Amino acid sequence: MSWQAHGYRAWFLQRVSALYIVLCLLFIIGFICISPINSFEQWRSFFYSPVTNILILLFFIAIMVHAWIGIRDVVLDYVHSVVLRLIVLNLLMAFLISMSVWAGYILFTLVKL
Amino acid sequence: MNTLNNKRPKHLNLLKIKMPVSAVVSILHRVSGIILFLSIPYILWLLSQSTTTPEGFKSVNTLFNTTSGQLINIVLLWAVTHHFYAGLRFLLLDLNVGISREATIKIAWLVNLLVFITLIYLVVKVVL
Repeated sequence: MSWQAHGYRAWFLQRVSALYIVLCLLFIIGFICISPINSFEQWRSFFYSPVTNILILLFFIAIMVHAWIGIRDVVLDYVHSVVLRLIVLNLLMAFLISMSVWAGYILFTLVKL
Repeated sequence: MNTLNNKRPKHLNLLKIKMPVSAVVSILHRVSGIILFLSIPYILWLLSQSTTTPEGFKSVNTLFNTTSGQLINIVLLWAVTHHFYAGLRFLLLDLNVGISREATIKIAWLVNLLVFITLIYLVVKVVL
């Protein structure tokens, strides 16, 4: 009977992550509009501050959550065999987790303390 | 689920169904979502490449000036733009805004229009 709660939780997370992604995108676009990036140094300095990087890390986490719920719904709609579903969902989850680790690594190496 | 009406007619030939514009917008939201999902490694590669060395930054710049690079950018910008506006449409539907039949069709056309205008702007300003 917990299915409804799961459905509600997924629905809620999808909306919260969407709003955060949009806010972050607008922030990044606004920042680039105010100070256009024309060189490697300017681009690199965008990622110096740990605060910016934490916000961007949260941005990537929100994308991973959003992507997981979205792709999970797509798989549940088109893959009907339980075994195949499990395999596909596990592969996609492994893919998303490795992407998150990679994103975290990239952002971590950019911070200048 | 199956007990009520097992023999209901099924007509799922997508080429024969005439879909309302709202259905098309909805399907494209899914298609753009899948494209964005697949683009995650590409985006992360661009980020890592462009921030590690000045040469990498230059190579991304060069890539963005090739025809294939521009084509990929246009597809990805379309996907982001469509996913954004069609997503806002879903949020409006969640709030019970515009759920009458006429309103859904109007909002769906509005989504298409906004995607078109934004994409043209982005392609002219950013890609070319």
